[in-house]
Parts: sequence; C-alpha cells; structure tokens
Amino acid sequence: MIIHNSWSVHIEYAAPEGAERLTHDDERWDAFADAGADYAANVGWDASVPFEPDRYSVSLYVDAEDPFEAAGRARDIASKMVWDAGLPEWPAVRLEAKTEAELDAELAEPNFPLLLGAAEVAKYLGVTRQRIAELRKRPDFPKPIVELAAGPIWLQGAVSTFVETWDRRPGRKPAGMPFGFRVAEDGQVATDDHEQAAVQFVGSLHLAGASAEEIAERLEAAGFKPPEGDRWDTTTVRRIAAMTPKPARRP
Amino acid sequence: MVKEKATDRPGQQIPKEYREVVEHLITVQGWRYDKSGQRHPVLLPADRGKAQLRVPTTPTRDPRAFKNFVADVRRRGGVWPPPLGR
Repeated sequence: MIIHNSWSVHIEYAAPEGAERLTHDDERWDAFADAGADYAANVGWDASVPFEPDRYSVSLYVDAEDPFEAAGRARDIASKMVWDAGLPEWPAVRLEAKTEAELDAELAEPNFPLLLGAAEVAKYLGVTRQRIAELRKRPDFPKPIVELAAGPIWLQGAVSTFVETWDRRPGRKPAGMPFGFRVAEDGQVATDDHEQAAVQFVGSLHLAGASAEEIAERLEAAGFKPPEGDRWDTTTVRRIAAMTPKPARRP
Repeated sequence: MVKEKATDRPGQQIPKEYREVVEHLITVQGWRYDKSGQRHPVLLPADRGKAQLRVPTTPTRDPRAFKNFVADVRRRGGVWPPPLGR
C-alpha cells in the first residue's frame, strides 16, 4: 500500500565561484516569493522565501511517498520558481526533508535550553544557596554554562543528570526543624523514629522526676544520638523535656 | 561610523500570527525588521552572518506555510516558542 505523506522540504542554493552576484534589494527576490505563492494551492507552499546575496533557499510542502520522492518533486518546483523569477540557477548545497508530523513535533519542542541560576538550582535540589556553593566543589557537579556578573547559570539538563547520580546524604536539619522530625526525600516533614524514641525516653524519665544530668547520662548509656555533637548536654535535655506533656494534676 | 537605523515595527502589512513572532524576535532577541522600499518586509537575524528572511504580506491559504516560516526562523537561531518564565 502506498501512503503519501506531506513533506516539508528545505533546499538551499549557493552561488558558485564567479557567479552573478545579487543584491538584497534585487526585484527578482520579490518575483521569487510570488512564484512560490502560485504553488500554494497545489502542494502547500511557504510564502516566505529566505535569502542572502550569495545564497537562496526555499521551504515548501509536497506530497510524496518517501523523502527521496519528496526531494525530487521539491527540486522540480523550486527550479521552476527560480526560472520564473529570472534568478540565476545556482547549485543546491543543502537539502532537508521531513514529514509534516515530524516538523510539528520539532516545532512543539522549545529550541531554547532551560537555564537555572543558583537560586533555581537550590530550589530544584531542595537545598540552600550556601549548599550550592559547597556542591560546586564536587567533581561530579555540573559546571555552569556561563558565569555572569549576576552569578553562574546552569543548563537544567546538566543539573537533572547530576540529581540522577547524586548520592545524597542527610545533612544538618534545616533551621526550625524540631528534634524528632526530619525532611524526607520528597521534601515533606516526616517523623524520625530514632529521635522520637529519644523524646519518649526523655519524657518518661522527666515525668519520673529524673534530673537533666541523670537523663543525659541515661541517654548516652542507652545509645541515643544527640542532635549535635557526640554528647548529650543538659540544655538539650531540658528543651526536649519541655516538649513532654505534663501529667494532669490530681484533684 | 555609520549606525544602523532602528528597526521598523511590524504592522498590519503582515498577518497576525507572523506579527506575533516578529514582535518577539525584534523586542527580545535582537532581530531587525526592515519594511522600507520593498513590497515584502525582511527580517534580519541577530546573528548578522545568517541569511535574511522574507515575511509574507498576505495571509497564506495554506496554514502549513506558517510552520515553514517558524522552522526558517529557528534555522537562523531564533527562539520560538518563547521560553517560559520560572
């Protein structure tokens, strides 16, 4: 079964050495554009005709079974246009043929790379801008495509690639995150089981009347890890104990 | 030193859908638009090494013509559609 597709064909012609030179305001360019309009009803025609003085090109649509047939048809039409306009016949130096669907898909894609500044990269990675400065020291962190006075600019694709291979380790808690909670990988607040157990441990001892010093010692003995440093201090213990609900007073 | 004249602005002489692209190219991407002395206005890419592009002055009967126009703009380094803001 023969299926005819609509093909967008782009042909460029270049002036050979010693050929007649054209100026950009040559009337024949207008004639060339007009000659294209004549074919619009038959094959689909792009009325815009790009040119430069030593090169001209044409983009047009033809119906054909495959790109080779499309190229042949487009060449014939373009040759007639050149002839009708009175332009010099220069050799074709470039030919591009793609189906209309292919061109549609291509035009639907942005042809501008997505760019990120430091603030956007920080947001994308869920870290602070200061952390970005640290991450940049890693050899696997992408280099910015350009360093402007306003700061570095990255291609989003490069940052995405980094994220795919980033062996992310939990760092310090973000400011304001209470003991017993953490930021999950999806950016949501989640409970930290180990720290929640420590909170309950502190709470039970506090309610039993233990002092902050005693609780700190018991925490270390039980192997609970403090929020910062290697040792539990009484200030931290008191802060956690203050989170513990007080028992109801007896009547 | 001879300065280039300021770019013209596209008006009613070109179809609306083309005008939207041309406006963006000259206001954001440094292209120039020249409608002086010729029936067909011309777009000059920001990269002066790239070929000029003729802009049709009448609505084309075939809507596919606009797609070829955009493809030609992109061949010359023009960005279309415009990138989205953050």
